Amino acid sequence: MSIVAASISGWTPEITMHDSAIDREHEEIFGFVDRLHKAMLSGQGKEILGALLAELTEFTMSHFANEEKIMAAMRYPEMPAHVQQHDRIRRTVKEMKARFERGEAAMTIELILFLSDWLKNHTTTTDLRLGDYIQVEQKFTAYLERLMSGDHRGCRVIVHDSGTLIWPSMAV
Amino acid sequence: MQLINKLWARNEVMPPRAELSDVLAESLGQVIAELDLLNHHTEESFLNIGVKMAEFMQTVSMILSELTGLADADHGQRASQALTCVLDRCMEMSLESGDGSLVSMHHAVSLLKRTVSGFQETVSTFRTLGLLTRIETARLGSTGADFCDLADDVGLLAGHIHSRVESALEMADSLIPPIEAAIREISVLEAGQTKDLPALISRTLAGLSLFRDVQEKARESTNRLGTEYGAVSDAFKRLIVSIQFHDITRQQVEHVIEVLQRLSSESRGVSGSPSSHPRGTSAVLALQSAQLADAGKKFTASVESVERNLEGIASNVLQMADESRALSGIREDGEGSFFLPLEQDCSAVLTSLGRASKTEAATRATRKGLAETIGRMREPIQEIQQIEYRMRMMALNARISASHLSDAGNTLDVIAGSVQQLASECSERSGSLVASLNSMSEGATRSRDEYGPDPASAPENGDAYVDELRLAIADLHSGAERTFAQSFQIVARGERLAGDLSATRKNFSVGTLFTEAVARARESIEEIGERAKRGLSNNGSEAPEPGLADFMSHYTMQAELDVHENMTRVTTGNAPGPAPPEENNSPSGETDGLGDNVEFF
Repeated sequence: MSIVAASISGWTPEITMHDSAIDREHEEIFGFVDRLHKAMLSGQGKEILGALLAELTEFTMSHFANEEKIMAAMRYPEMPAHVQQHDRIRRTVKEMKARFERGEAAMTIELILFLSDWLKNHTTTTDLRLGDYIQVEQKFTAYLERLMSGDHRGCRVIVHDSGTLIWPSMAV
Repeated sequence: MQLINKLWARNEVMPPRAELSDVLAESLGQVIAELDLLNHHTEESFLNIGVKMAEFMQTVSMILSELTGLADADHGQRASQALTCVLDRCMEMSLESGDGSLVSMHHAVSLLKRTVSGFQETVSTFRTLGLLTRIETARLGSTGADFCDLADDVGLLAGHIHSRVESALEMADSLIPPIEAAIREISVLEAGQTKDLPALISRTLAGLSLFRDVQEKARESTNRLGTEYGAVSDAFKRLIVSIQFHDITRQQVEHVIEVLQRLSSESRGVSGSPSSHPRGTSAVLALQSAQLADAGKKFTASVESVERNLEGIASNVLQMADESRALSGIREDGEGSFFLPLEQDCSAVLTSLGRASKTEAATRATRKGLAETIGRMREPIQEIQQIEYRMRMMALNARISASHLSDAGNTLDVIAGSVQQLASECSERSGSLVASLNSMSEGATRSRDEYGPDPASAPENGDAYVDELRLAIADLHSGAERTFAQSFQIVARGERLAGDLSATRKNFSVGTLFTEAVARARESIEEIGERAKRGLSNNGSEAPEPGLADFMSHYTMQAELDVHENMTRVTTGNAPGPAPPEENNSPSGETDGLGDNVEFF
């Protein structure tokens, strides 16, 4: 599926992050694309651009902060590269907002392509690797809880795709 | 079913062992359950695929309607006219030497300042002359008493002139900074309007031309894509019709189930006693196995055909999505589009217009301020002119009085002559000041006149012009974003449809399931048949039916119909035994007379 189809197809369970709050935020990104696309279809993109950019800026800061908090808490090994992508997106969003405030009103096509790129090359790729890690973390937690309760059935070592040994020590 | 009845009716009833009947009934029950489940599963699969096909057709219909919308759009007409008009105006502006009125005003103000400064020297000379008059009057004593007033008046008037000159100089000083600021702003504006803006507009016009090409191409391609999507729609319809073959195989399986149920029921009916067991059980089971084999063959062939069709449609749809993408200027990676530079050009023109609008407003304010200041400057100059006149009159009177004194009045005559001369020079200077002021005033009001007779309406008219262009550009951008969003949607729908079709094709596993289930059922049926035959053979009662092996290998529902007819003829004494049916190897099962079979059952 190309970048175009991916962006207006909406959120699907295939791209779950195994964290309901983050999933809801990802749905919001699709929501931004949907709102902008609908407005553009009627030639009214510029009318909603200001409000959309304001919301998007606030959302981006908060969403990335949430993801980064989760990554830090899990000591996610790919965090530096992931945060680099966040920084690039944050910077672009801020620049677009600043340009709008300086009087540039015609940037709806640029914005929808940017959001599509975000969804295609970050949300549905880089984020999914984090999602996998979150899932492993959840399994590990459940596993630990089981061990703590004295149930040692099926005790085994868990290794993440990245090769990081998660069990017996998360820090390794 | 009639055939089975006939077979059973014809066969002798032999006493099978009770345990054999139980085992037979149980095994048959398992096969029946599996076949029942198979029918249920395939029914569900085909219902699902039918729903999918209906959704796909709806998508195709939406794409067709959106393609038509894309081709009918005629965005940018207004923008094209406005841009061309502005471009012409910019070209005209670049041919002019910019706004010369402000530059000449700047020179005029500098000159005015120098001229006014010259008055200061004049004032000083007047004062000196007044002093000399006073000295000479004193030397003459009573003879020069008439000249005392002259000395006082020259001093007084020189003071007046000084005060007016100071005021005029102050005003001239205040004129220069706003003029210089306005000239700087206008230089930027001129650079933008005569260089940057035309370049931007030219680029936008080129983008607009590309945009029109896209629209034109969209129009041309709509028919072709419309036909192609129409063909896809027809292919879906054919597919929906073709998947109804499932009804035929479902009835075949149902028929087998019914026969097996009957057989199971018969077997249970005789268990527990040395009772009856249909002598033709193995033959009946063999026929059902053949029936299932035939259904399996038809099902597999038809499913393969459906899969091929789905794959073909998916591939076509993907190609069409690619074509839509190319039409809309969206790059293959989706990260750019020719609409993007068009949008950037629109944005740059709008920004430039905003800047030009601000500069024009500032210039207008400057010109207005200049006109007011110039108006105020006329007052001191006029006063100076009045003073000069009075001085000239006084000097004339002094010269007349001096002539009355003969030689004694010579010195005073020279002084009065100097005053007169100086007043005349002063008059010339103030005359040139008035001319400068008039020229400046003309320069300040010239641009306002361009907006119309009413200077108050000038800003609104200027803004209206810029607003018109801004609206045209905004209109162009709206058209571009609408076209982009529509094509974005068409591409997305096409790609999603192709993806869904491929997924449907991949998930269409009912063919394998059917084949496996039929193979299992046949194996069980044949095993049961074998067991039944062995049981009866032990009693020496079941002899192989003549021609049964050949009959089974060619068995179809039509064959059963033939057997039935043959049996009917046997009972009426027409012909002996079942005739082998005609071979039926049609892969699709759609045109091989199965319709008759369906009717038959």
